[in-house]
Amino acid sequence: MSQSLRAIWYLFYREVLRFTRLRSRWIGSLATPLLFWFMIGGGVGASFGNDSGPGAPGYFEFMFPGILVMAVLFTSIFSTVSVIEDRHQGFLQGVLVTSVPRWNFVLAKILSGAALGLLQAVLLILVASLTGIQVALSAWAGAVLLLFSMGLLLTALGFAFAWILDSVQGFHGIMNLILMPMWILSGSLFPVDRGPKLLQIIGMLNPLSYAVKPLRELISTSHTESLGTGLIAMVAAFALLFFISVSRVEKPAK
Amino acid sequence: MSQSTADIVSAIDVRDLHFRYQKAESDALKGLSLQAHYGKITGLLGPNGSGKSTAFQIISTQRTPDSGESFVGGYSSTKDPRKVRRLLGVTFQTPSIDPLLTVRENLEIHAALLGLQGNYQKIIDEKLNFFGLLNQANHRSKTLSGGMQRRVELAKTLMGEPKILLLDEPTTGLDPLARADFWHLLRKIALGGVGILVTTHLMEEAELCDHLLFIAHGKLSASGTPMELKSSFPYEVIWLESSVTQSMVEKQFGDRVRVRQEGDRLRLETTHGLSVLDELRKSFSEQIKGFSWGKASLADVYFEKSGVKL
Repeated sequence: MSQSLRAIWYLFYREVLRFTRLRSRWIGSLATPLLFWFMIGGGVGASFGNDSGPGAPGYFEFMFPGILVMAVLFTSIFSTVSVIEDRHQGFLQGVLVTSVPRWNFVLAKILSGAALGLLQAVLLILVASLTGIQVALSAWAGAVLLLFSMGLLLTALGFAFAWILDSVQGFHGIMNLILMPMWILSGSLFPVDRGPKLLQIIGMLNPLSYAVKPLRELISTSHTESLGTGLIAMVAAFALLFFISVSRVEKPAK
Repeated sequence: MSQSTADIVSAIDVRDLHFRYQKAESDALKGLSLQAHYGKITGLLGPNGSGKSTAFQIISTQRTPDSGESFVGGYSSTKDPRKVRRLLGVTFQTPSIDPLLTVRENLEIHAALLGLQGNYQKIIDEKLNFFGLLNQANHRSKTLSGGMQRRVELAKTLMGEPKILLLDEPTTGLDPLARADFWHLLRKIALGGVGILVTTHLMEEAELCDHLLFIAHGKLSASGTPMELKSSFPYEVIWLESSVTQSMVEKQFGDRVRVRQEGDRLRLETTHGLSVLDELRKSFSEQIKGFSWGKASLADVYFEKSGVKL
């Protein structure tokens, strides 16, 4: 077990080193959500106004939790693209011929993707405090837990696809096809439970929905009843995807 | 593993491997058997597509054969993959070091993956020293020359003191000097008792092996020391520098010689080198500017055994 711990730690450490050395990567995954926030949040808010009455949050504020989800989502995609790069560059082969259990590699990738996603989200929260969106001290722990578990789920999803796909282009195509709708129908952009029936059903099946709701409540009122549900949904979905990936990775190629 | 067992058990023992890729029309391996021994460098040669890399992947537990078995240090690659991985050090054709990390960071991560205990900075420093990389330790790997990167690769492979090395075209892309240097290091490693199985396409590298295995069409086509293989070739080779043409030689000697033009020289294969030379001198004394005569080269044997007709 201590071998596994050390292997996971060092593989995790590698991802962090790579992340800090690819400046374009963290600028890209931090700037994109910010840009979306100012463009969509500002544009939609100004166009349609705030019809929820005085004192209720505007669209700019409404969208903020969704922007945090987007930051986690982008980071998790970029993290798991590296699975394909590792295979092409030969690093993966170097890992697979050592006696380290292969689930170590899977877990390190997922943990690092989730941690880096959380880091980006925290930076965004700090940036947002300049615009007046303040996350209360008492809400931080819950928000961090939600963002991290969301990162686990999204990176595990990315890993499951990256392992079976051989091209970065194909991976991006598939991930856009799955993650974009997941993001849009999670309540990030609009409350899904007020939309058409079909969207409501998809929203209910979408694990991300269960994290966006408590996250929004925590940020706006620093209190939520559904933190537990959100965490359970995230961790359960993560566990399932992790199990699928590990069973694939352990199997030698035929 | 104790020394006495190591002496009895082959480092690598591959028996009657069969393997077919999904959707392929024929088998990549058709009953391949081979052995490599401790303390020796065994060279594996074969044309592209002959099955070398497939065999490597099976030996290193990356693929499961359709039938047959592969043993590394006495352990089955299919039944005891983790024990096999613990004994093996593998270098693939494609580099496996992370270009964004420094040399030391690469080695640190690999040490953790190998489960090295205690103070492995000492082992890392030893390897850096052995491979002449101490000055590059804190450089990012991508800034190193191709030769230096290959050294890092080999240092990484040797981190866990493997008893058996599997090297797939380890000198690809190296200049002649870096290559000679690499083989010098390999010999040093073999002298420490490590069994090495290495693939190469270069005859001058094959000459440096203790034992050679030729593989063609998914199975072994010949094996032996470089000397044994050269002696097994039934022909002697004469190189002729002259204005004599291929057809003139063919007319004179008929089927006693095989002749072909190579560059501005004629290459003759014959079982009676001396008498053919005498006859050439008598018939074409005016035209001949120079000649050489000797035993077949390793390349000759290799082409013959691979079924290549030039």
